[in-house]
Amino acid sequence: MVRKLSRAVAAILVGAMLAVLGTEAFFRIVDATPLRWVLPLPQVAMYGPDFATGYRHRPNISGMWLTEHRNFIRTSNLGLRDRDRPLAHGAGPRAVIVGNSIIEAVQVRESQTGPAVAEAILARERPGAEVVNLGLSGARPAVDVARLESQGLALSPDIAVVVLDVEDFATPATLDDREFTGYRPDANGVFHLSYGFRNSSGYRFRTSSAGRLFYWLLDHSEVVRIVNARKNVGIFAELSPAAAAEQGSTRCSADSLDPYTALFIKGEPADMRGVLDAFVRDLAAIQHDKKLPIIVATRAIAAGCPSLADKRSAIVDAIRAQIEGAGLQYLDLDGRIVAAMGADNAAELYGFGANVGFGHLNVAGNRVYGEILADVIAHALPSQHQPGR
Amino acid sequence: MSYDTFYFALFLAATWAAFVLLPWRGYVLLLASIGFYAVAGLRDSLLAAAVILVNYGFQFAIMRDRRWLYGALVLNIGCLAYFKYRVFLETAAGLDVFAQHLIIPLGISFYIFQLTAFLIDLSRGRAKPFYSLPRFALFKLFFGQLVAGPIMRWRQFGPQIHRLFDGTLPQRRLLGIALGLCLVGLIKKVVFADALAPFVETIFHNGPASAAAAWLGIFLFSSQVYFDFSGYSDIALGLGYLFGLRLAVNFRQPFAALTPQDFWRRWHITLSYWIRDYLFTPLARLKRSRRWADFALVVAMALAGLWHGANWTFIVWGVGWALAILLWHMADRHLARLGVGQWVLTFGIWLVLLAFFRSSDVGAALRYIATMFGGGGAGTAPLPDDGWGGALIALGCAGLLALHWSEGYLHTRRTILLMRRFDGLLLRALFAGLALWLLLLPKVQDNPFIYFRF
Repeated sequence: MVRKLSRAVAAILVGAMLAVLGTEAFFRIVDATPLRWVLPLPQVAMYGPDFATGYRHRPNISGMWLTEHRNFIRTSNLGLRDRDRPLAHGAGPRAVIVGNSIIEAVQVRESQTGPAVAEAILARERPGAEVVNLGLSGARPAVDVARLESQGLALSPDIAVVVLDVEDFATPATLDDREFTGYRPDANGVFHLSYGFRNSSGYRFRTSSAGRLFYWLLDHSEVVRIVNARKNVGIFAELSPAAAAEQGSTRCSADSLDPYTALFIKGEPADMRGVLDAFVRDLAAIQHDKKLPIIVATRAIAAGCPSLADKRSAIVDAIRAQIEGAGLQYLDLDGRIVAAMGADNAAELYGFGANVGFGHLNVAGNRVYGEILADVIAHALPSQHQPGR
Repeated sequence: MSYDTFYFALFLAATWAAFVLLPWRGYVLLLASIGFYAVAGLRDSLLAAAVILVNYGFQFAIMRDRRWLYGALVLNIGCLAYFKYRVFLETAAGLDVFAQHLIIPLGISFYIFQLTAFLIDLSRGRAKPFYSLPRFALFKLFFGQLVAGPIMRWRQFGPQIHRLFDGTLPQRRLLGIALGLCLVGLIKKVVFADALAPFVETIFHNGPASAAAAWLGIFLFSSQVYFDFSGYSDIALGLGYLFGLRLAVNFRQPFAALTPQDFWRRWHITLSYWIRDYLFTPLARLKRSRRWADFALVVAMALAGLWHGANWTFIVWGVGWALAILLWHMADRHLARLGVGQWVLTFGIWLVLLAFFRSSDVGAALRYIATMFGGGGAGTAPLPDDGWGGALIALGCAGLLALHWSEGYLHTRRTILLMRRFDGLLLRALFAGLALWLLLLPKVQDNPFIYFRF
């Protein structure tokens, strides 16, 4: 009886092990051949823990990005969504661009991202000019500031651009510091960068020896990537598929700008206003302390909607007043895009294949962003920069 | 609940465990099937329950008086028309008899067709009534064939249901084959159909920029719809075997067909035979003339097209197939000399007519077909302009066809005997493990089974 049972258990274990090996072999073949552009495979896991922001790109990670548009990704030697470059400042001027997944642009080749396009344009007029991509998927205002302070300043930039989704000021997640840096109020109600994630079990695990082993496995095994991806989306993820993006239908709706009117003009809700004030204060402090010109570029404020023109203008004026009042420079990115492309064509800068109009910037969108950023940086840079400042 | 999800695997494991451990196997499957369908929502569940209850009652009425069949047909077809073709009727005939906006209930075309076939068979003396409501309910509700077929006949499925409830149905003899079929179905769906979906979507949404892009788009869609539906059907077969039930085979290498008639003997077989037995044959027998039979074929195929969806594109698709069958029949002797040319022609007919199946309206389909034949592509979806990319695409398409051909070896008696010979815990763990890894892989894009919407 015991012998029969142990033989049954052994058979099941051998079968299960063969299934693991078969799966590993199959996905490795897919990953190593042109089949990776068509067949399913686990998405590259390129993020790791970071003391300043909670998470960041790990250096020299490569693999296929699948969401929205298939793309082969390789993170840089510095752990950025960028080309390899030395940490030390080169002969030309250096700009850093901080932002979220719009700047990170994992859906297109590295050379097609907005910062890479801006670098190519700038380098034509100023040999050696560099534009470093500090885009990080999911980065909110607090992460932007923390990332500029930690990774941005380490690059000794001559100028910094912070590309900001104003939507981030309308979501309570901006106050959450359990997974990455957030803004939390002190006893006096003044908001400061907060790093609650450092005490979380997840962060402690990821920075432990076991965590390092986990990342090693993640980089070397397809099945571990599958398990990790499933853990991230949840066992029952398919029970509640994500709602289809409906940006297009709501973009010009009458009430779409109301939360921004409340926040930027009326100062409501108070906690979000506190976060906005802290964000501007912190950037102004960096600019002052490090003598680093900073441009704050806002996006996701409906441009090209005639019915909302007045409301939008009032919001942009209020944002500009606050940012320029703190000594920072301001760029209305949406306004520049509509001016360059026309309101009707702006939607074509987003999305891929059958989903043009929705999602992240496509190749054309990144090119337009790159051209605008290059222009803004060129005008903001001192005519004769001093290397290594 | 979709078969290609991890939570369905958990549901299946729990159901199978209960099925093996508990003595009330029929009731276990019935409860599981009700739970499976309940995920579709309360409205769909109530409708399915009502249709099943009404049909349960009709069988006794038909036993007393055959004329009750007409009442049952009116009710069943009326229900299908109301829920599936309301908008189409409104726009096509200017009718405005229904005010509410309705969404097509899940699987309605399949369960209405199966129940209707049962009642017709009953009236013809080819089926026996179900006196037990649970048995009758499971006859239609079994989750292995509830949502998208195969459309089962009483003579195939009825006796198995009775043996299941009586405890005389042999089980666990075909577990290796069952898990193998589920794995093959999942590979077809997850690895191939879902992978092709974004390319097809892009070409049809943006429009092909050239004839080559148009042919590629339609070929990829053809592969997508085949791998999607035959994958579902393989899983359905496998699920049946898991519980000792034999469901009907729905696909037999349709792309290897040499004639249009042959194609329909290989593609969605249970629907083809349903149309033949309950629509074409009764209609053709009304008048004994060749012309009438041809007319009956056109009507039957048009209705077969309409079954797929409330759109003129499906009707044109069905009529196109009818004309292809009739023309082929007329030129049969000449075409037989073509050899492999017959295959090329049949596959070409399938691809060209498929443009109607995929396009949003007849005009778009005609424009697409015009592009296929060099009519100038107005779209923006191009082919890669480098030779290497083009060669890889050609290789990929050849690979898809080769996979289709190789399926012929999967469903042979020799393979089944081989599977039975090596069936054991090791093989079952291997198949179940491989299937689980495919289900664990998160989906990048939501691609429900195509035939779920029919």
